[in-house]
Amino acid sequence: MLLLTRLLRAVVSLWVIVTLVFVALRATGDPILAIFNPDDTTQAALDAYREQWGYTGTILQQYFTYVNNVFHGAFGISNMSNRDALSVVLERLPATLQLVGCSAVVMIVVGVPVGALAAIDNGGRLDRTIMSLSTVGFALPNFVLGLALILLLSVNLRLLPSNGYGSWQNLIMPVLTIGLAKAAIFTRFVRSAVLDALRLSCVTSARARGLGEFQIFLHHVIPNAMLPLVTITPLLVGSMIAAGSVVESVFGWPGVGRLIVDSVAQRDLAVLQVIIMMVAFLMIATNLIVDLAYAKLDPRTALAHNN
Amino acid sequence: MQVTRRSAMTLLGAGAAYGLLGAPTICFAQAAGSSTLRVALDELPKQLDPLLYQTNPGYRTMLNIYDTLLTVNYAGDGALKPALAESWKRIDAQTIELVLRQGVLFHDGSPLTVDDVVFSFSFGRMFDPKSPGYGVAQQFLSTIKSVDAVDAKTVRVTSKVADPALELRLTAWGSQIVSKKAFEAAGGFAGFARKPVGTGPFSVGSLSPDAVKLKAFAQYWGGKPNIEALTYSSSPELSSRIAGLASNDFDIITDVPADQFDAVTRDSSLEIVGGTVASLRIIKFDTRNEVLKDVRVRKALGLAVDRQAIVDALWQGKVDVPHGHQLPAYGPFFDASRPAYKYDPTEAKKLLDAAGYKGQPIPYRIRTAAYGPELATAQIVVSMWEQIGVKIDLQIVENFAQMMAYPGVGMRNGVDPVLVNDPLFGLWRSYDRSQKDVWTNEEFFTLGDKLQSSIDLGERKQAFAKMMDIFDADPPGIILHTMGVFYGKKKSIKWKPIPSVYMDFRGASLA
Amino acid sequence: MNSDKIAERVCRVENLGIALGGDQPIPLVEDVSFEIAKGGYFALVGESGSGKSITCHSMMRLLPFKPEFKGRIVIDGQDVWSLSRSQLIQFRRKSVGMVFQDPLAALNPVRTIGSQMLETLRLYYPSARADELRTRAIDALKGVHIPMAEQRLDIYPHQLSGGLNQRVMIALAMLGDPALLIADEPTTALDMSVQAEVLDLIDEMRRKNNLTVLLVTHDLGIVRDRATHIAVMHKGRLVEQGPTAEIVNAPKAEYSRELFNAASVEWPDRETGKLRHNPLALTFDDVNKTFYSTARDRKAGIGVPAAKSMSFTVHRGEIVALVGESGSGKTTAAKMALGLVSPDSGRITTHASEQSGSPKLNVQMVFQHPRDSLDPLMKVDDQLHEVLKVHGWRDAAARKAHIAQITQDVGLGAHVLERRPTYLSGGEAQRVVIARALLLKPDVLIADEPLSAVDVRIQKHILECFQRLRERLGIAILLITHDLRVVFEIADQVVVLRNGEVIEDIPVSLFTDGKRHEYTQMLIDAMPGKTAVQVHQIEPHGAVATNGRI
Repeated sequence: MLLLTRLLRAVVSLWVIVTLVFVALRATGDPILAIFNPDDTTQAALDAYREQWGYTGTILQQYFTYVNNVFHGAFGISNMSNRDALSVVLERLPATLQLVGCSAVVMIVVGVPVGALAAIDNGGRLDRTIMSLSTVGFALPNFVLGLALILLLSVNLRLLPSNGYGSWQNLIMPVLTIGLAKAAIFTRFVRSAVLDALRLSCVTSARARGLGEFQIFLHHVIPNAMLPLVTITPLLVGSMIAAGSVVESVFGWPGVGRLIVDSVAQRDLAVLQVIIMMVAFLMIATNLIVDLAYAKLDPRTALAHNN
Repeated sequence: MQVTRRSAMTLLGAGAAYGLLGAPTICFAQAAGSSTLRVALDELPKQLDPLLYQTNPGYRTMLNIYDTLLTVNYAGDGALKPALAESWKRIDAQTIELVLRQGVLFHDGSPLTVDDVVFSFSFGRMFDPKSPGYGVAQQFLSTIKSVDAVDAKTVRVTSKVADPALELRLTAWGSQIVSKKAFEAAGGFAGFARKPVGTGPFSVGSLSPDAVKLKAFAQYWGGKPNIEALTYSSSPELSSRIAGLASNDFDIITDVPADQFDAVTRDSSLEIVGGTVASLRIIKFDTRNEVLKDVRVRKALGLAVDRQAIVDALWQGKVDVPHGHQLPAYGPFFDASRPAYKYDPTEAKKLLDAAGYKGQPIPYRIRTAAYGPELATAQIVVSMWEQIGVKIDLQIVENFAQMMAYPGVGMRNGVDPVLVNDPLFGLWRSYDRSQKDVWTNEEFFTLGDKLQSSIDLGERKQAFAKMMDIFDADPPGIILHTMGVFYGKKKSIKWKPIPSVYMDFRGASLA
Repeated sequence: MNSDKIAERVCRVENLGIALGGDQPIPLVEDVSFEIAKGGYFALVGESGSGKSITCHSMMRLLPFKPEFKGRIVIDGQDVWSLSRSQLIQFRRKSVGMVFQDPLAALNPVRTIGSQMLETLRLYYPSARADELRTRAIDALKGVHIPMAEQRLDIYPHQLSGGLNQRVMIALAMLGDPALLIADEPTTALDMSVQAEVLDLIDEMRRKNNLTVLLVTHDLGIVRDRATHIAVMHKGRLVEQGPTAEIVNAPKAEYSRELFNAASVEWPDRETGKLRHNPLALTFDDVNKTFYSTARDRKAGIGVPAAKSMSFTVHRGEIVALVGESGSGKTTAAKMALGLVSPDSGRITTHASEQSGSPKLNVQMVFQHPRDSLDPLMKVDDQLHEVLKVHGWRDAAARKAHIAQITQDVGLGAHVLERRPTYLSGGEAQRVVIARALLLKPDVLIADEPLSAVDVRIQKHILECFQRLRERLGIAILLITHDLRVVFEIADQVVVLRNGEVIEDIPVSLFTDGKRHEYTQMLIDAMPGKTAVQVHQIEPHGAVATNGRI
């Protein structure tokens, strides 16, 4: 029942997104003229493409054909690559999953201990240092951090390849760029979650019972601090796909982020819609997982669901 | 954004980055032992069938995978040269016959036959409106009626109309010869574009979103290339491309704008090569505009532009200011004696006064991400026009749909590309009747018809000379300069770019 | 407690001073000294902000900040503030137990009762087997009279009632068999009927274990029946201390007198019947309302009834108290009267007088937490003007005069208008909220627990304010409360609710005639100081026989 409502809601949001994409890509004018330079391309060729790619008929007709195709699972042919859009996107998926997955690990591995340290040292020198670094970290644009890493590790030290994909060496710099930038934000969330948890009455009461600080931190602070973090983590991981578009460009990483940018520029609706479906699907799936995790972590919500 | 990223590179790169450059020599990135030439492109081709993909990434890769029947001397006077056809003969205004070179092999080892040529130009591939290749074929090959086999080594090309440029069309984009067997085995366009088989100096090893890997083709009819392999990598970010060149991840990088030359040459082992390519940078008039209707205003605007100043300021003087809408590569059509465009603000002001110009603002639309330093060019030109009292309404647009949107037109930035070195594919292609809403000159159009259909060289030369005169007398645009394409390259790499958007690695070698 | 020398005094606080550190330390507690004899029941009394909680937290070094500490605290023979870190942990385990205000918050919400008990038991029996610890945990729960103790171990705190949770807390605090039990407002967050049970349990623990108790509270009612000694705290200092009888009968300090005065229950000596003849202001006529948590529950008819055939009336100039425990439907009734919730069936009528034009404006509400309903960044004056502006008062001078009148009515000085809510005391803030509600000249004012967030002394002022308003403006007040003392103090008519049903609807003078419904009687019994109340006998006509303080 719950799942059904959820699915229904997902379909509606998907439809809204699909429509928005359609409108956004048409609102800027004739898509053929967005793809081709009429100074370079003869009128005959432009007309041929318009016909072949279905940019004929009224906007409304085009919209219905488009939506109809989408809901029949016909993802269509990518204009850019002349093959089915699904395989264009799937080909990019492993690179993105690698990048996002590893970056998420960096974010958590750096963010949790650093944020917790800052919270424990609330107001102290360590806390202030960490918070200043965090501000620098998220204020620094991704491409500046990325380029700085390239200049240091590739150009000067010749330790890592500057561009490319395939080996673990290629993975290090893009992952650090995204992972550290997100860790800068995540650290703040961890810090405030731990601070909130430290202020909980149950922590004071555990202290009053004579529990050791380490045990209190492990059994009372962390489980309570987890709750807000479980909500924010998927959002941050999701935003890594967006951050990917810049970072992938800097490091020549063949991921989905860059494909999004290219597809918008090239008005490649078929590819865009596949990506959107995929992201939407991922988001719905993660939300479901988060909800399940939340119920596991916070028995109070589990009760609310059962009733 | 672009500017910010570049300046970030300059900031980060200055001193700190390159100070240490000399010292370390651990060349980790170089593929061990093999002689691979590594080229970084801003964008990789997504498919490798020329009939599907006519953009820069395609030009830079596929020229090395495929051959055409004929070719031209890109580096010199643009004269026709034999390629897969070792000789050719004009039969009449609509027909030529070509004799195929013998012993040419495709990458899969099968020999080139007339069947492959006929198939490459077949209706199903090129001229069926439902074919995915139809659009590209319309660009240069639209006049071709049929390509037929005469005997085992001869093909006949017939055009629908009298066509003086029929030979040149066989050098043009889209006329590459593909293997019939491989195309059919791949199940058509989509499959073949991933596993292409041509006769060029390099065969395709792999095509992925991060790299296109080519291998030298030992049996290439033009001789085995000097390098073992050719790898194109994707590096969309200019600063990363430069860094990748400096850190020895790449041997050659594309699309280095003039303001980044120093960032490359700061390292003494690197250099900038390239220069003018066969395209003209133009500011185009839309004569539907009330002010621009008057020819005196258009001439005045042209006279007010100091072209050399733009070339010196933004292109480090490395592109040319043409004399008329022509290129040296036009060969017999090139008139070296044509005078340079005048820069004369005084004369311009007089013309404006004569036209009764009262300071009405003229819209000027530009796309900033279009052709190099667009915004800077526009700002310089606008300030030059302000000097003679012209008021400009500068509009930055995102795409051509917005650029062309009528009403509200005035001037816009543009480029007249010359992918095939004949005025037919230059001046006439850009200003033929298809754009008559924007600019009309009946005499020009009549002369253009002659240029297109006459096969008499003298008559065509005369028509073209007159057309250039009309272009200057009743200007549909202001020619600023030729376009430039610049590459960053290791000095140790032997490679000379051709004055074209194509990249040809037939003669390249690693030192 | 095993040391004979100091057996006499379990706890000794000497010249305690606590200040919030910094360049200019802010003193929070100054010069506090007291002693608690073994087996004693010591009550530390004061309003919120008096420093009593800080004092008791400092006794276990549980302050949430790093204080500047002066003086000495000796408990169970140990100088608490000179203990090392590991000694402190041992001290907390063995010498003192602590019970907190909100048991639900003091227990970790994401862990089961059992895991928290086992975790604590493990401290005392580090090598015990798991099932052995479990048995001990069950025994501990049984010891505080938790029924079905075994099943409770595997459930979470939110699945238990507040009273049971507080029992769990007491069990936890008692696990180490401490010499001293500190109970910091242990009943404030609990329902009236449960409060007594929890206090009884603490008494029982004290008797059984020869325990010394320090009870920290703002509620004088619960103190006078149980404590052996009382200390009164005010503004960080002890103003008075001594044996309970002395302090209660003859408070010496001015502040204590005032405090006791405010907390005492004044017997109504007013003629209430005649107000019933005034015109109607608000009527509930056979109102029903049920809440369902899901659509499925609605279909199945499984819901929580908030109003069942609820009928009562409020007349002009009358104060009607709506009394009941949480969940009895009080707040739903208020929301329905305001039109925020619509009833399933029945009629709620507000009877507009001639003076107020629009019927929907003639009911106004005052909320429990005054600060929550005020914009903290906007001056009081501006907030009041805004309300009038929204309702079409264009003339600034007229607005000003009206606001001046109303603020005077609620007993606020003009200086309050210039302040922002952050700088107001709790009582001032509550009166600002009342003033705001009165600006639009309502016929009916609904006050939802208006006193629960303010201190005893201020409660008095606010009650006086209500009195004045109904006398001067003839306004009808529907007062929602769980505190019977407030009812005695001010109400004319009492409506007792249980599970959405009206159990009683009687003049306040009949409230303690001994003939009440058993639920009402239970509420009365649960009231601290009940014995005193029951002494007074009411004559049949509703006239009051005795008249005095209890």
